[in-house]
Amino acid sequence: MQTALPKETERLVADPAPGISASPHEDNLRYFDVVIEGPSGSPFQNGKFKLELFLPEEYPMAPPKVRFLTKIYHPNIDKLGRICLDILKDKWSPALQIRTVLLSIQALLSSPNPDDPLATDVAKHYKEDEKDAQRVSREWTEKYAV
Amino acid sequence: MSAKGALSPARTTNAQANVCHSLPPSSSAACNRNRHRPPPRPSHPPSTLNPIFKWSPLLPPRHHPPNKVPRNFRLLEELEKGEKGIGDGSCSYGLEDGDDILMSNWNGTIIGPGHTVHENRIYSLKIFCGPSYPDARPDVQFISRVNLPFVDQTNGKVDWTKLPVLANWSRNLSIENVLVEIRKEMASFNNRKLPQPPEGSTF
Repeated sequence: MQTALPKETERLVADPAPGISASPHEDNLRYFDVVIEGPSGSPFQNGKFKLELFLPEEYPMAPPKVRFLTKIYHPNIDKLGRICLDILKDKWSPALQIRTVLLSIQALLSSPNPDDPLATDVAKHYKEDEKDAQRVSREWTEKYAV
Repeated sequence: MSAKGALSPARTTNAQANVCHSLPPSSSAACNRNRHRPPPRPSHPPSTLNPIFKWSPLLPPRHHPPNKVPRNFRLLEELEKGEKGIGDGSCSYGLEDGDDILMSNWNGTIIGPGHTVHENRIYSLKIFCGPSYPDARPDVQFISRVNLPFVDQTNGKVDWTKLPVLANWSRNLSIENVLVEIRKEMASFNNRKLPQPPEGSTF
């Protein structure tokens, strides 16, 4: 478990997924600064979203902790940047990796799920008027995710 | 739960990325994650060295990588615990501004302990967690007027040198601990009968 960490980190830093970068803090190798580019075709396109990721002591038996530091208008991400994604909770498996988690978060930007919301006001907006909600998401992306 | 996993097939692993509607109850349970995990020690001093240099279990590990829960994740844990409610409800706390991504400013409430001059009083406090929290102690200030030896009577600020929980601060302690300790002080022999300013007045 222990030896798995630096190797995984090494791979992650050396071979990041497209549109994703992650670098560990020098003074805490379990704590990462992450940048995810908004997927093209989504309202988050061209945005650079900052996140922070921490591997708890129980990792990989417990999932990483991740949150957005950049403000984002998305039904499954709340005001404090907390993310509602099942693989970060009850669907976590030790076979998953940081890379998979970050790709899943990137995928979540492409496919918001307002039926299972964390930010209820944003979800309501998405359900009632998706076009208008996407306009706000684009505005926030241009304003905050630069 | 709807299968909303939108990983492209090339990237898909065995996990479906579904979204869900609530935060995990589990994360707040872990309050002691900052214990250090000893690292693998590939480079023990060779035994040819003077035995005094040999690593001994009695000595602290020579290389001790920090494995501390970072400030923000620690504060998220505290927030989740506070949202659920702590103890018997006599102390509570929450973010002053739910939008504050840095989670620096908190509100606390203490219900005065029974059988003291504080009985039935509700005290409001401000707690500030700076960038070095929890390595650095939080700043605590009463909004409600109160007469206690560790509270500055001009502005309500808690003098950390006079309150043991702050004077002996360590990163294992939390906002909850501070509020609970202040409430205990209110009920202590020396403080339980101190004359108090009118109820409801503020600094």
